[in-house]
Amino acid sequence: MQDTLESRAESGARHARRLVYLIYLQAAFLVVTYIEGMWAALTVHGFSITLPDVIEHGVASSGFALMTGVVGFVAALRGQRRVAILNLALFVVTVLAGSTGFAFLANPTDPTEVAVTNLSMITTIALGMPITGFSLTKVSQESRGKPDELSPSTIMTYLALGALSMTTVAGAAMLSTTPSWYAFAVSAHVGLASLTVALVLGVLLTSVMGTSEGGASSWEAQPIAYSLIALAAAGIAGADGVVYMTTGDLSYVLVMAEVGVLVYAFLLIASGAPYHRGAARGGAGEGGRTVPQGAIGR
Amino acid sequence: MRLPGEEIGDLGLQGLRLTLTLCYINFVVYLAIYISGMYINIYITSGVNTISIGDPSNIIHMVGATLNFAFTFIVMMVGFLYGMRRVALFSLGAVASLVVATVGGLLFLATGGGRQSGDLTLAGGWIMSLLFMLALFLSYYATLKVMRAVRILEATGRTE
Repeated sequence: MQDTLESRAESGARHARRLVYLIYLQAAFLVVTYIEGMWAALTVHGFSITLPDVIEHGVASSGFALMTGVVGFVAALRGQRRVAILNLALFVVTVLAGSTGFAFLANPTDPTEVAVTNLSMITTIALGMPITGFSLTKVSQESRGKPDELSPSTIMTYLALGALSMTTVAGAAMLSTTPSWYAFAVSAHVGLASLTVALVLGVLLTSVMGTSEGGASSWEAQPIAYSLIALAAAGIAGADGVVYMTTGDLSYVLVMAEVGVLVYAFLLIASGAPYHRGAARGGAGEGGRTVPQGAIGR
Repeated sequence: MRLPGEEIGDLGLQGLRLTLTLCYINFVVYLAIYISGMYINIYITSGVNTISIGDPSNIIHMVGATLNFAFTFIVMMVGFLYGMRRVALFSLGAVASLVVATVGGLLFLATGGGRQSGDLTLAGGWIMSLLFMLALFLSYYATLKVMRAVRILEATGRTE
């Protein structure tokens, strides 16, 4: 009886770790889709279905949609209701946003089509950022056998991902709106970017402060390192934005988007950390932990 | 309790039923693609006219194809993740067929979008149709395997 229970726990943890890898893959597709989309929006003139940039963006976004569907369905199989519902909703939104792309390819010069496509696709990316962050946190907690808890660092990460996603939407609105809305979009973009930087700093601070167990504070190295890199990336993206506003050179917008998406990537890794490859071969429970709590001195 | 020769995986009865439901929904999507494809063939192009990517009926057809591909892919992943090799392999075949069918569809659209647009367009149309049918056939076998696993678990009174 005991063996059966242990075997089930082991099998459950193994499946949860596989789901973690799928979420990382989903996030990787999101990053590539976003970068390809920004690249195409800023550098391509004369869109058509056979253009390599369009095909690459289509393949990456299809990968993202597929992974979102897979994560949602596997989460449903595992009984993770919230992760399943959020991912399946994201899947539907992704497919709908993709269909606006088909309509755009028929009329690539129509300003309305351009605005609808840009905003619907960036909204999908914006929804994808916090949803993948939430999914990864939940599933990696399960894979390590940790209780379903909401630590200050986790809350701060969710808020930072939300602010970052709103920043990208405001950024896309700058490129797509009418002149009367442009000033509003710029103000919103700069304000939300500042909020994102403040929240990433918050993630870093809450990671450093760690958790208090029996009066002794303890912290883990990986989340601190990743949130520090995310903060650096946010700073560089902000600097790129300032350079763009000064010079008007669109290539800086592209660099800003590329560096900005690194903020997302590192926040995501920080929320999934500590994690290492050996955990895949380990057992359930604390197998995924790289550094035992309190092992690193203050 | 092991069942020699049978492939029930470690998904459990509830998970298998959910997967079977997804397979049924996938068949509804297959039907929708077939109907929208035939509608385009008969009423839009009529063997003479061309169709563009932005045509509403084409968008519906492509969204259906996207859903169909995603659902088949999910069934394949479930097969791989939960130890149902035959389900995984049949679905993998269906996924590969759908990829080639999509390339055929892209070729059809990119080279004119009408049956009289040239040999390449016609070839694209044939590839799309034939590979679609192959994918349907392979998905059907994958569904049968899931259905059999459900029946076995129900007959033996097991839930996992």
